[in-house]
Amino acid sequence: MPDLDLDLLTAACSAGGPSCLTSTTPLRPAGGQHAAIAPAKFTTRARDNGTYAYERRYLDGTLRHTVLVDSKQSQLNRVEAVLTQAIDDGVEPLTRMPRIRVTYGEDSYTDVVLSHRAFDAHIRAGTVDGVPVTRTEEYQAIRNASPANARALLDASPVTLVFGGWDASRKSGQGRWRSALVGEITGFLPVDGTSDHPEPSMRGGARVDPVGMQILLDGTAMRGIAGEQADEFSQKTIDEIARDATAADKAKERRSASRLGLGGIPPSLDALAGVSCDLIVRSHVLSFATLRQMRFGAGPAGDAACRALLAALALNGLARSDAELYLRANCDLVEAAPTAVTVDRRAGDVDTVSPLTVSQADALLEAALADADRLAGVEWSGVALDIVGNPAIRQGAVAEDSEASA
Amino acid sequence: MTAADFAVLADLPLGAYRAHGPGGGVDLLPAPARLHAALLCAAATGTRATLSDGVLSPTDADVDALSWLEVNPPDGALIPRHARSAAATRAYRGLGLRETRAGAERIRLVGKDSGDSVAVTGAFAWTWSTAPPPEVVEALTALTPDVSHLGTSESPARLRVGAAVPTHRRDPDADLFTAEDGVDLDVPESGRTAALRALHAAATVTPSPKQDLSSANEPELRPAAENGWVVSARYAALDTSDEPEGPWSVVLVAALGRSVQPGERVSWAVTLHRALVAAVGYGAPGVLTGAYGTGAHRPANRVAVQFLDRATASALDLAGDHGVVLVALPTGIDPVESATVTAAFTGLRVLRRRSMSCRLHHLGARPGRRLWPAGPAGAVRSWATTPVAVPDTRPQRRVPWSLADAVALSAALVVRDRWPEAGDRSDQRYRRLADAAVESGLTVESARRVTDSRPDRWVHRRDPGVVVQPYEAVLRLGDIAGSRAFLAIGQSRHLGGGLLVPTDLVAPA
Repeated sequence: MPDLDLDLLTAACSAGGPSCLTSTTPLRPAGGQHAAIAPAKFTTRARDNGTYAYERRYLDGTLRHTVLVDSKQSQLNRVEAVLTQAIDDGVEPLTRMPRIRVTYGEDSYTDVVLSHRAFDAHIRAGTVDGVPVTRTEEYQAIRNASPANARALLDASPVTLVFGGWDASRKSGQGRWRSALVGEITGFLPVDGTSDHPEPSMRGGARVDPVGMQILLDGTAMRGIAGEQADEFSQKTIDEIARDATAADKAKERRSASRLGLGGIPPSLDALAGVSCDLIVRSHVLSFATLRQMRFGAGPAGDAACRALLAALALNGLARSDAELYLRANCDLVEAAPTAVTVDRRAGDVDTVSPLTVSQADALLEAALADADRLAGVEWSGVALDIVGNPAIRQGAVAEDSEASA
Repeated sequence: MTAADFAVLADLPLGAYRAHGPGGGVDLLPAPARLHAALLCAAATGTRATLSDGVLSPTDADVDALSWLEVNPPDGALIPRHARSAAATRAYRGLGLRETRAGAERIRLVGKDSGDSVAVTGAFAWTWSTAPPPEVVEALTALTPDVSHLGTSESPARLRVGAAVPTHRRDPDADLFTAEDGVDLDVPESGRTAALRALHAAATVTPSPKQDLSSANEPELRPAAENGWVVSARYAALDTSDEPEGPWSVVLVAALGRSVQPGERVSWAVTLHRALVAAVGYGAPGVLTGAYGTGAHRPANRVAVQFLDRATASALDLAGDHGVVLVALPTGIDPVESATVTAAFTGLRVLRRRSMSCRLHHLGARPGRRLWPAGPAGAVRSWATTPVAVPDTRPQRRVPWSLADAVALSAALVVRDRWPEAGDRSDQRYRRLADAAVESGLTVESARRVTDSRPDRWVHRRDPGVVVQPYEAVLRLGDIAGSRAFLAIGQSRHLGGGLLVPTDLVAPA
């Protein structure tokens, strides 16, 4: 079985190369095949307690009902998270990966985690040495990057080229970069796809307060307890407690202190139960065709080396992310079989290659970076653009967090 | 069916096609126009593109190949088995754009409906029975691997040239209401390549630094789309199955602008029926009105109006966020009357009932004998009344009679012309017809009366003194009709009631 090495990546990123690399891994619940898992939860138009995303897929030619265990966006978020962790841990060469950083006081965020990467509003609203970042030459070059020459983006924000980005607020000349890496985790249900799709079961939930299932307080006590914790509550919660306290005083009676988090909640069936799948599959596609639509002003060999560097970055993130199979509460998964990695060839044939371990992915990335340096003068030196965030946005976020915690 | 001389094939490694049509709705199948656009993108930005003065352009050879496609759309298509999923989920995403609300700045968060996709098994292919010129073959062979996606970024694709056996053949003589089984796909017309290139050039103008400033309220600016130089082509199914003609031969389809609840179907059907009669005007035929002259032959069926909810419609690849309405023309209808009713229906844009209105978006026609998709191999198909049916007659007292007999009679009355010898005396005639249906293989698997505080909403008209008794039933049709036929039974079968919807039971392995 050939190795997934730099020669393969370089050939794939050159004219005549394959369309894509596909990575597929069967998974199973860590608790055993019988165990139910918690798939990704979504809201519905009805804004009720939520639902799972049921779809249909063919498996070995048979139409089956499926449930989305982890979406494309979520899978990419996980890749971003592990890359960020590796950078923070000082893993080479990731710690030198160019990135754009926006700082709000003691907190900072990079294009790796910002939803619109190099074009995110946090970045565009910020300043560099007091100058709006959109007026700086460096950032203008990033925005003006195009398939004809994406070098400015490669040098400042390679994650934008790998995971995609869209300069959606720009009136023209928008940067629109597809994600070269896409994937999902799908659970196949033991239900024929031609029948009605299953409705999620509900499970019971309750909260037991060992002191008392109902805690009744008068208005004075409510105000006192709330006052001692005022820093922890949002303004909305404080106002609601004040209203309850006033009502208690008026009625001259004690009222429930549930808004203070006291007392129990009786059992009810209003939470989604887990789903039992007879097969769970994690699939990823790395599109070499997407990368081949980028040029970097380095000639055919240099451009191929730059694309191979991006491919190696994507595979590095994938290798790290694939190693972490805790998705959410009640959704611990393990690999049920080895990962199958294929690269397409002419006439519908495929080559099977070995999947990468994390250390192999690091070595491949190091080799790709050296090649890109040799052929295209690419250098990785860490943060490429440091931006001071717009305080108005930060304040707005704090206000929203306060309401959300109510 | 034989392999075409030349084909472009597309595999979807993630097993699903996700794309939007020109109006933003779900695109069910990748049309030749989408293939053309994807190839143009590959030609203009992929490894074959030429770079001059910082601008990428497709080569002359590739432009010629794309122009060839405009004049020579594929004459066949291989459409693999596919199934639409319409998950009613909503995901919230940060848009990376600023907005100011109630004096506070934040990053815009928007809920987007997600989950619409089309599962596919096998490759799509666009085929040509005569191979293109060698230079076009060379260009397409080189371009296809550089196509990265068909549709959204969740739809990565692997394209190649090769051979394929088409399942559909382009019918150049078809119009919107050609009923034969097929799909309508957009094909590019001459000039499409130039139009797309011009649009792209206009969209890539670099704005001024002042225009590039960030603002406190930023809209999401979607680039303009080019929907011109595209025409719809019918690709008729090369279906070898031999389904017998059903009681209704043609089913006209329109997407609804609002949902019609089960209990409203009869009312809205009556509204549509009246609108059709009004549209036809004086001399509307009996096949539409149900009114025949004294002594005139009354056929078993007339124009029927039925509704499908969103989920059922999507199973038939009928796009409609609120479901669809079906107007079925009976088999044997006079061609002039068929054209009259069709024109009346397609001319309707909105229905009005009381203070409510419902827009109609016409989707063409389907053959009545193949409305429903075939079931899985080895499956047993049953049919369920949807939502309910109402017996055609009051319970018979002078002959043994049960609810199952009423169901069998309703099915028999749809095809009663098969048994002209059933006789005239009502109760015995009904008994004979019900028995004839059973002898034709009809099986009533279950039937139960539905208790309803408003039973009258399931009928358009009732005889005084007759109690309306809606029922739900599951039956197997035997030889009553084909396994894919449009069929409705019961008193309201022409006006929104008693539609039979198939369900398939696959025996465990």
